[in-house]
Amino acid sequence: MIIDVHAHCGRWYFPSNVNGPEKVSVLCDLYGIREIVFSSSLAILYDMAEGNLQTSSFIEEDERFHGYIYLDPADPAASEIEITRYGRNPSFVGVKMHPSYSGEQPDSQNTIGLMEELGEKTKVLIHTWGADGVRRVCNLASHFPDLQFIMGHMGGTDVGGWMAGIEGARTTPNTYLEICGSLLHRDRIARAVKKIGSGRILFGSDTTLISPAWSIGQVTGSGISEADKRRILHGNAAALFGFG
Amino acid sequence: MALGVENCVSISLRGVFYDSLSGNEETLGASDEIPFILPAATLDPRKFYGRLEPGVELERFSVLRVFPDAQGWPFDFAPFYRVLEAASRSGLPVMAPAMGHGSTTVLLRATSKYGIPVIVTSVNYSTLSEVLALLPDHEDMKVCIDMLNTPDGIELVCDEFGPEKLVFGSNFPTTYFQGPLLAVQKAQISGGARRKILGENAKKLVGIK
Repeated sequence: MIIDVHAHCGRWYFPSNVNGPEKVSVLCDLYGIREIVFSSSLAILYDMAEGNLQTSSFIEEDERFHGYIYLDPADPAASEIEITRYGRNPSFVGVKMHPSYSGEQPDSQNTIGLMEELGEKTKVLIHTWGADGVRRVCNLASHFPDLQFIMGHMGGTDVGGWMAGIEGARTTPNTYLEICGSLLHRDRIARAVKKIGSGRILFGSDTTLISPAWSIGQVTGSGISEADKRRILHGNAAALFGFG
Repeated sequence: MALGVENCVSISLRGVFYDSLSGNEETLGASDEIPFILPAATLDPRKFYGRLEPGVELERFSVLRVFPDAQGWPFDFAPFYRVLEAASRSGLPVMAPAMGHGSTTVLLRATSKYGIPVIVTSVNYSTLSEVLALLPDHEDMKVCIDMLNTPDGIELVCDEFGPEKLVFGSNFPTTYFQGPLLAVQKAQISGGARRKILGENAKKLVGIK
């Protein structure tokens, strides 16, 4: 059983037929994904409001589907409207930000201002890339101890990035490491478990950008205990998001 | 071998990062000791310009693997053409990574000139369209699935061009073996196609009966 906390709905800029909810439901069946949380590729790449609307329709199509409200701190006023629009919708279980696309650093004044609008215990998934990205996400997390920050890609696919991610999570208690990526070095999960334990590591796939196979293989091939694998694949996310 | 691997094409990292001559010797030594290892040779075009050093016998290898990504050279590079000539004389397929956009186009232009079979590794969502555009015009081109990570990338290549175009690779032990294996196991393709990807295509390429 798997809970996937990092997924996308919508089309991408590469050849793929896995776009609509039916195809994604089949993918969930295939890989045993019980709950899955999406942000919209349209919101990230082009139009926040239209993309969040897309997410809200998409997640109605399968009871396993949940959404992140995508926020763009480069446009705080529009982002606040999105928080108001979807913040009380129980199918939305957190917010997502992508500093590389928005151009706003994770600890910018705009981002800090937006975080002040979020309710206590809100889950915040941030694309986190490189040692500097990790430092900034941890800085943001330190400002908001009542929010829970998920470092997407656990700091990136370069050794320096994911090593920084592990260290950042070790020193910042309200952060979690999410594990997906294209190039997955074989030590990253075992090292993370050794340094911070398995309790704050979350499974994510980045589907429909990347097949869940790669992240699942990363956990099953990591050499960690079966209990740790279960925590990463579903237990931690079930507790964090309150999935039954 | 554990993980169900019958044979693997493998290479010494010494040859990648330090010196191809001593690295190739190390690879052959490992292959002599561990018979399921099919030795891959490498030549570094930052050093090689057409004359093989004494002791290099490419015919003893299964594949010629190059590392422009790790060594920082482009495919449009005169010494690399000498590498391809050496591969052509030895009858070895060349294995090379997809790098930025356009690099695989340049690679295939070069290998076509020498009539060399080529295996393109490290293809991911970003470089997939380039590979799909090249496949129809290059009979001798294979795609390694080591990073073919879109949700239906394997199905897409199989449906459009046939499973004969894919070979299994994992990049193990640098990255996890189980991810690409699971992707093939779960792909919505026939059992015959799966067998081709997991072994039969590679066996033909490197001449295993």
